[in-house]
Amino acid sequence: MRSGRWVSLIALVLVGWLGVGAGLAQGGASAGARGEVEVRSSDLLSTVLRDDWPSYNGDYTGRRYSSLDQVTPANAHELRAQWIFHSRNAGVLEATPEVVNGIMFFTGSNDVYALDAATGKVLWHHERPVTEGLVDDASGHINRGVAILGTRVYMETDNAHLLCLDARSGMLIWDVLYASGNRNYGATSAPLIVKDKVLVGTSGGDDGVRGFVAAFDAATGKEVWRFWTIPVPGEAGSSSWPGEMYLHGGGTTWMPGTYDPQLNTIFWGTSNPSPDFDGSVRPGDDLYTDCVLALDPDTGKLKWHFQFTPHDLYDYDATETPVLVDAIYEGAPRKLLIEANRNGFVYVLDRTNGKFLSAKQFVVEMNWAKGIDGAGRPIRTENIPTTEGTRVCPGYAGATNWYSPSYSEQTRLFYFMTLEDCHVYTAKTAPFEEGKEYYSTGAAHKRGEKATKYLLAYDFAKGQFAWRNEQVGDSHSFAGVMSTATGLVAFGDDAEEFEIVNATTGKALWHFNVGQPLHASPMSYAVNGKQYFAIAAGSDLIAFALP
Amino acid sequence: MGVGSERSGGLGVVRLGCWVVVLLLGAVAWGQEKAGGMEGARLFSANCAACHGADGHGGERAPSIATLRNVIAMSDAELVTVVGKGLPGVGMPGFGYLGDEKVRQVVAYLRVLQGVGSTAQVKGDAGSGRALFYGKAECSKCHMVDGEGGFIAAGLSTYGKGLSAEAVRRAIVEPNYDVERGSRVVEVETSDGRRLSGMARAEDNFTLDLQTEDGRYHFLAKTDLKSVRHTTHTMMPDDYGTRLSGGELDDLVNFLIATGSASGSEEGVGKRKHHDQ
Ligand code: HEC
Ligand code: HEC
Repeated sequence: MRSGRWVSLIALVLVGWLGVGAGLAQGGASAGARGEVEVRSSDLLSTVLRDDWPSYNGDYTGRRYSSLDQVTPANAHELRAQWIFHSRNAGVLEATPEVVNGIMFFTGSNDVYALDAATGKVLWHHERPVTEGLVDDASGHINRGVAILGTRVYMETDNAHLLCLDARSGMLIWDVLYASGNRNYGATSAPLIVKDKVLVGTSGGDDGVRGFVAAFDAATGKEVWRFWTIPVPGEAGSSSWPGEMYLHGGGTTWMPGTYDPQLNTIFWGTSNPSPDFDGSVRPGDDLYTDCVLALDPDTGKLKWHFQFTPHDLYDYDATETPVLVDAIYEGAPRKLLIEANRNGFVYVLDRTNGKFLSAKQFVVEMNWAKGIDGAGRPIRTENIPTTEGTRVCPGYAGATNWYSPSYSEQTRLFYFMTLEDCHVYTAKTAPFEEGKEYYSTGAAHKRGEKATKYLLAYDFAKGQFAWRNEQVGDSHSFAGVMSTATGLVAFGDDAEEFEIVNATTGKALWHFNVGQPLHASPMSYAVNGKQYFAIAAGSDLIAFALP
Repeated sequence: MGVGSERSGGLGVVRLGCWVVVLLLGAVAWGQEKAGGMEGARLFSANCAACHGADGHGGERAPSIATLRNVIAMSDAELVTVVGKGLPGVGMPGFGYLGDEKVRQVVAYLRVLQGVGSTAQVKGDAGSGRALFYGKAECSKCHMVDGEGGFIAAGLSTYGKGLSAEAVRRAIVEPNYDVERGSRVVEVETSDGRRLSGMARAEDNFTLDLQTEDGRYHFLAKTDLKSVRHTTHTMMPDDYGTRLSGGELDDLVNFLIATGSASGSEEGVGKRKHHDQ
């Protein structure tokens, strides 16, 4: 039911007009002129990010590496704020804006906005009331962005509906409820387009839901496949889930995956098991929690999986972006997957088969594991949650988290934000209850202990850190990282500032006080030949460019 | 309350005779009485008109509460709360001191101004109305119902919910009766002589984001424009009153009310609401 460029209806037409600004936007991934949204699924295959940033991570590799070259280490200090968009009803915004042909799409709590990417002015706004009675993350009405295909925009709502909107007006075309049977389901992610399908996941991994990745026909909203991350009794891995436990095992899918078209494989991270801290009710490895899943995007069939934290007791979700990198590794060109995991190790896998290649500890304080063995399994310690409490590092906010990492093709370094932190974990067996979180007790800071954030540059080929920047702040930021072809790394620091450093040395080049907590990842785009950076802070979205 | 003619005057647009306006005013007066509303009307003009306008269609200091979809969509209880408590910080005072009874009377009168609440039997046939909507009347070229139709104008899936037949009919036959700013057609001429016409989705002293009927946004700098004309009409044809028969209009009205009442979705409410800060 895609309306094409239909002929004008009444006398009200543009007379002899061909379009202001036509031909100005060069290098964008999508078809169509400036001011027109028309994204073909083939456009999404481009791995060179220039004017447009048409999906959550920019492109399917998840590298967040922009080829725009206007802003350089030499002139970055001249960056200045261009506009501020204020959203009225969100908490702290977590979305990455997406840009196609000068139109920016951005989300807040059950809100989608289309903005003029050069001015930040609202072109349309689709809103629906936030849902009452949700649990945990979903009750914060978090949303991380849209997916775009054709002339349509897709968004997940806090209560796990997938909405299809007309990108030109924000009008609702269809609305599908995709998670039911347990009201602890919610959704916070941006969907992912693969070919003619929209892929979604849910939140609720700390709340006793059963995780899945589901694919819908982008045209009709009809479900095509669904991969459940917790096996039913009888299936492989089901011995971890006695009785009805499989219905509450977590393994949710609350961040968008990445995609390799040549391998025809999507890579999707799963969350921690439920209940978080009490492992006694879920013996064994708890598949497929804390995994990266390699799935066939056409059928949802599992090709391979790699589990970072078997039998997790610490809330170490594996939902961090599985970044796809093609590089020389140990002397041969390899198709790699790099992931900085919440459990404190950064992994390199062979993404053709899931084979473990290396892991490197990236936090100083680490006491849940002594290391990673040759097969990629952690060598565990005795430190597990108890009724009296056990101090474990990294803490439950993770050694890193969902905020974006970035891989630069220019420096061949992998950049990510880390958190040096420990918690005292306590656990006690408790029954699952709908309408309540399902952590089975909690984690707290030891009195007087302070956490610290670091920005890391990892040379995965050498297995060494190129540099490590300590961040001043209260360690409550949740901001991601991106890089550019000119050798810049842009990120939200821990002191409410948007900052740019030299990608090779880590030396600061420019910073701007956004004056609000940063819980989002930056991106870059261009309109009319002008390069912008944009990042959400507090309830605002701010764009920067050279004068 | 002769606002209709005042607002729509001087456009050079073919309009319906004033008899429609007379009829409509008659309907309002009738509804007013039915709502036991002389007291409500008096309270409204004494307490609300200064900001919201005599007919509730908005004034210098406050938005239209008679036509904004998100206000119409509020329940009576929600309206009573808003009017009683006010909206601190955005300039809407609370009227709780009038007492519950008077607040309810004002809200009842507001419903009359919104054209909401008439439970009278709606004439016409919804099935024929649907056929007209997607067929001969070409409404679906601009409007979407339940995901099908055009995108340039407001979605109408929930529009008819709770509206009276008179109000829906007026929206069809007299589309320029009360046009929200964002729905007005804007015509521009660029410095190099090209003309464009569409809707201003965003505008300030320096830029104008015009969406043409094909859906494309034109991001225009005012310095590149020779002229900008804000008309007071919408894109919607204003001749449906003569193009369609009385029976056909009844069918369309019935279709929109039936669709709206059947719809459980939230579409339409607050849709295309402009960022109003
Ligand atoms: C001093 C000016 C003023 C007066 C007098 C006033 N209002 Fe308002 N009213 C406002 C403003 C300003 C808003 C818009 C607030 C906003 O930004 O959403 C508003 C909003 C409203 C709303 C919409 C609320 C919403 O949630 O969107 C209703 C309904 C309303 N007024 C009813 C009334 C009624 C009934 C009266 C008389 C009893 C009245 N107002 C008197 C200024 C006024
Ligand atoms: C050329 C485009 C066009 C056509 C054709 C058209 N309309 Fe409209 N209509 C509009 C526009 C523009 C508005 C103003 C509101 C907006 O900006 O969406 C409007 C407003 C309306 C409204 C009021 C909506 C509201 O939220 O207040 C109704 C009801 C309506 N039209 C019904 C119809 C019906 C029924 C038909 C067919 C008989 C029709 N329209 C044909 C463009 C159109």
